[in-house]
Amino acid sequence: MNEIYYLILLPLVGGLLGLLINRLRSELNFLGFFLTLFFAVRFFIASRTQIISFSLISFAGIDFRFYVDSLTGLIILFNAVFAFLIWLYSLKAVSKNPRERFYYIYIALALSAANGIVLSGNLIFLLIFWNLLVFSLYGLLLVGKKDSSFAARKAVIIIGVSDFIMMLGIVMLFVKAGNANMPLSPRIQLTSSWFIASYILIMVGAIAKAGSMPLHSWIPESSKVVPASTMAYIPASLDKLLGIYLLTRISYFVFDISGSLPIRLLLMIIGAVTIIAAVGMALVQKETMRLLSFHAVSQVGYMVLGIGTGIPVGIAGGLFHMLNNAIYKACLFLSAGSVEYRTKTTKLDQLGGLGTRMPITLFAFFIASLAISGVPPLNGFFSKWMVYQGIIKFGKESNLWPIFLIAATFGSVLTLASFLKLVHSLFLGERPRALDKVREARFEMVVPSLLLALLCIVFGIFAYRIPLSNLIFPSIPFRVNGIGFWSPILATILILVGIILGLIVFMFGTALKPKRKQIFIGGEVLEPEEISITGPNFYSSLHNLDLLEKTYQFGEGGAFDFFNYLVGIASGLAIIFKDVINRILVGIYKGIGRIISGLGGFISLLHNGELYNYVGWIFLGGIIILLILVF
Amino acid sequence: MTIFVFCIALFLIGLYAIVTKRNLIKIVIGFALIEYSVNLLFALIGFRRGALAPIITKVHTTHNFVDPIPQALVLTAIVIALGTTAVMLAIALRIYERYKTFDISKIKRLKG
Amino acid sequence: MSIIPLYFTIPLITAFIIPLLGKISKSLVWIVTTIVSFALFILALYGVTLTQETSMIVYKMGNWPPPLGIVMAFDSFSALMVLVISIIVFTGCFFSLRYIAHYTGQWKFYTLYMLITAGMMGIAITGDLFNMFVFLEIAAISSYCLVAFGVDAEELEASFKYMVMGEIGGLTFLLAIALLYARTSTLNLADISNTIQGNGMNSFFWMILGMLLFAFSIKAALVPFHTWLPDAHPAAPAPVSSLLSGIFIKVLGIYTTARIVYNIFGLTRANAPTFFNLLIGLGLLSIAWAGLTALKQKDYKRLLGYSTVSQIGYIMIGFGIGNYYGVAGAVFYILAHALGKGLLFLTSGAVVHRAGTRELDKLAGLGESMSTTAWSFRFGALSLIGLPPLVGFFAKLFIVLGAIKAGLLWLAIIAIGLSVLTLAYLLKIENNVFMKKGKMAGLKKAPFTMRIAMVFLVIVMLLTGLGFQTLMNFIVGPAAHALLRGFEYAQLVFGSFALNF
Repeated sequence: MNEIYYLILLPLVGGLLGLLINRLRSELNFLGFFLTLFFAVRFFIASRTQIISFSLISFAGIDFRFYVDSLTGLIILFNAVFAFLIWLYSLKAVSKNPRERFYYIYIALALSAANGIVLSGNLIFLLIFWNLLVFSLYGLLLVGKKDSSFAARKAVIIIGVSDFIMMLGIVMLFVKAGNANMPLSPRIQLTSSWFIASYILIMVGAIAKAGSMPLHSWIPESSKVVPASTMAYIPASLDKLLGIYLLTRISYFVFDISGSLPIRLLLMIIGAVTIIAAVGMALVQKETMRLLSFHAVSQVGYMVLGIGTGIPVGIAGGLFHMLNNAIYKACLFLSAGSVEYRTKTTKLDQLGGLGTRMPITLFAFFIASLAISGVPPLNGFFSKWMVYQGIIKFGKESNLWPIFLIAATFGSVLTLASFLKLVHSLFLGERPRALDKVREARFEMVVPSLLLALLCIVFGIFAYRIPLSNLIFPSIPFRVNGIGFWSPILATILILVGIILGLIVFMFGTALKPKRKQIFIGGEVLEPEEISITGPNFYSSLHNLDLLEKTYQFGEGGAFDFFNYLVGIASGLAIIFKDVINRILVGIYKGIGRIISGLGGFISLLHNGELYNYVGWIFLGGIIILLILVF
Repeated sequence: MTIFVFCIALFLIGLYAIVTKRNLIKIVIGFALIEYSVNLLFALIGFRRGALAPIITKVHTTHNFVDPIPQALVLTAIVIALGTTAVMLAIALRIYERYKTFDISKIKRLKG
Repeated sequence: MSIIPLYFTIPLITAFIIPLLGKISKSLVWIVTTIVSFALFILALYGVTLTQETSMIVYKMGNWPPPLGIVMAFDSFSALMVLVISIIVFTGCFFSLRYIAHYTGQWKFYTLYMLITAGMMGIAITGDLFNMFVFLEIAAISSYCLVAFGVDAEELEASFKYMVMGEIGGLTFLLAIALLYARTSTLNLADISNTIQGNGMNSFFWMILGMLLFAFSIKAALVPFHTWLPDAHPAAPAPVSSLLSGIFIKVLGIYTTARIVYNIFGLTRANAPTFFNLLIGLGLLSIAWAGLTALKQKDYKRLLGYSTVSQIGYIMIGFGIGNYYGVAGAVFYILAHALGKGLLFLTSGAVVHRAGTRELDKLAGLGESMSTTAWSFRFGALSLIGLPPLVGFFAKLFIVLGAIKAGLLWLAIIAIGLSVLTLAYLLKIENNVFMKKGKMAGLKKAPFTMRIAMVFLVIVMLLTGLGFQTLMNFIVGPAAHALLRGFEYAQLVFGSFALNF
């Protein structure tokens, strides 16, 4: 199975050669990524029909082996697709960065490491690649727009801690079970407290990689200082794919959580809290990248929720959502990056009205926004719908299911709300004068976002025929029943589609061409900026909101009130999470840091340069040694 | 046996000088004392009452010699001690040039 | 003609030829030293191949048979130490050419450099306790002089304090030798081993062992015996810091401890649990204590000095675990740390050479102007932190595996947990010196020979990391087995004597 080696080595070789021969860098990188993509496709097709497992070396009871099944093939394929698109996008987007040369080698290294993670059939083997990915993440974060060393350091320390936690769990598993193969047969039932602890520790590592709360804080921090392509590549796509991949593997291939209700409830609670808390935070952000990065956190909640149900539909939904999220989140980041590339800012109150200037970017961004909000018939809707199905079926086991369902749907609504704000403040409304000369982004940047947006549509409209039956269902070890949700819902879907499309048309009609009215203000001259409605204040005062006013006029007052109510709750939650929980977390991090730093300072003071002090230590130590040994 | 105890006592006096004396030269003297006591101990270990020096000639056919190995070792150890003491004194003098003091408690720029 | 004595006679003779050559030409001295150290490297590789065939090569000085004369006992562990010494000496020598250029009396530097090499090589291959003391003092006295080589105030101060503490250790070693001789009437390591095997351990031998451990702990700079190291190692010229931190303390402190504990006193975890737990305790104390202190350092080299103390703790833990994986891990760690820390000190030398300061607050933005140095630093740091394909990872992995197999799960967890400290303090340098954007960005690259030295170490490190399985089979594994033979060491030494006599 030579493809395994190709998949791990090719990107790296391409990247390294590109680094060495700077003149041919793009060509060599292209070759590396493209060949990887080619082999990934072949590999994906081969992995449909066979399971491959072979050992590389083996010592001390650790079997360093590769394991390939259809889930592996799926993740490999998407790793390669994303890497290729991001490479294409970066060609122009990163070209002005002084550290550009190193950017590509990290992109390549990350792909190699990600492929290695997915291919390895042993948790200890996996750790090797897992750490390599951290290294490449550190490198990528350092290729910043501004001085990003603080963000990079923060990310590495947070991920380092979660990796340590995961390593601990793997060691515990290895000690008790005798090996750490993945998949493990027979699977370990979560009965003894040792294995439960081990599972939870590994699980923390996995969901921290995916970006779940409370180990998420490096993502928004980094989003301010690194290029959009980095955000689209690592936190938005690779980390999601790998984190959820690992969660699925340990939950259903190494351990078996379907027999343990408390563990599944724990997962679902983490999922639900992540959805609500992160989306609440997103609503109040005033900067594109930061807002998107909170959504990157929020969406993880659905995947964790789906996998936590233990119901085949839910698990399939979680995995499908993982794919979809990677697609539309990458698309959002890339489109937002294009906007930033042209306008040189990410502050929402300085943007607006770019829709006519950047129509293709608008299209991609809009499609992806709808997809992430779960609007049918786009892909986000179907995966979320499957997760809901899973939660409803989970109701047979626990009475808590309505809470999860409400959290999931509520999260969806808030996502829609925050994206309305984002689309409005980027593309609609009044355009500031400074942005009059903005053009559509470059070809290399438009193509990846457009492709991803088209993928959103294709995966949505042909959800069952293309992604589900070819990609998702073969990848999980269960038969997925209850796909019958298809026809009963069809009518509902169509109605919803009608309403939404109507709304879209309406919004385009009103918002793309700002309505001009004569204003009388007693002879003063008004600049357009002073009366334009910018995005950040979208939810501060509903009276200013042109769009909702129109909606109100159309006689949907009920929706208005409901919306007002939701926004109120969301702001409350945001305040809770921002001011209370965030402060507690920051306090804990800082407290630990202070304790360690204080301890170091104290010990440092003990080394006071006095010789007899040092000699005293030496003799004290010597006497203790002698006392211990002689008696 | 008492003579060994005295050797150890000398060793401890040397240590006392190193630990408590502040003057660099006195510290070096402390080392000299320690080296002396250890060498003495070594020589005494090989000593036998009434035995001859370990030189085999036709006249002395008796086997009642003192142990020659410690003597050889002590010779080597003395040379090493000489080297150490010389380097130590050289550096002590250089330190005096730089810090204008022999007081070790005032020579503490390196700390933390 | 055996090659064994060549390991220390060649550098010893070179050390005394250099003053003569120094009268003729400065560059000739450097060329001769480089050639000699490269020859030592080749000889060391040859020595490794020799130990593949014969597990113990004994050389009798002046052809006196073992209990009477001095023997050189060369086994796999010695071969490994000799190899590591020669690698670090060779790169340090290359690095010195430009670094030493602004000092006066360059040939004196190379004389001391060769003497220290001779001393270390001698310790690694000798089979005689007093001989070990002599070599230890040769190496130690040269190191005192090298630390004070710049004769600045701080360097002299560091050298004097180092000398006081080092000599306390050295003289305690001599006292222990005297007492041991009084009881066993022999100084041959193998013979002492036989006596101990015959008598069994009693409180007298425990006392001797305690004194030896005390002496070697000072040389190895374990907490609380470490206080000289953060002064002395930064004070020395960078190639010497690299040599001292990279291999010197390991030969003088770690190699000697391991050899005496395992092969001479024949201790195992089963028959002396207290002693082994003491080693682990010392190791953990060193890691935590020095790691925490390193976090607060403001000087590039002083931080690395504390880091060395901290890393030595891991090696001690490995030997304290006492099973095959633990010992192999410790031996691996000797190699990994020698390469990693040697490299880091070389980068510090390059930075000081160009930027003229070691203070972390003043250094900034060197990542772009001195990219080779920055990348060398990153590789070295990542290896020390334990990032997978690099050699440091496998060393740590084996130690952790050893702890698990010995039933010390808590130790494995603490050892992994404490490596977060390594990450934190090395990131501090990375951030301050190389990443932070600052005024210093316009410096020139490090001189060519310095870059060659650093790149050479990086390549060796990558090769050892990628070929760790080969390394394990041919070098590290046999070295661990050589230690775990215990009392068989004596039989091997005498066995070869019976054959040849």
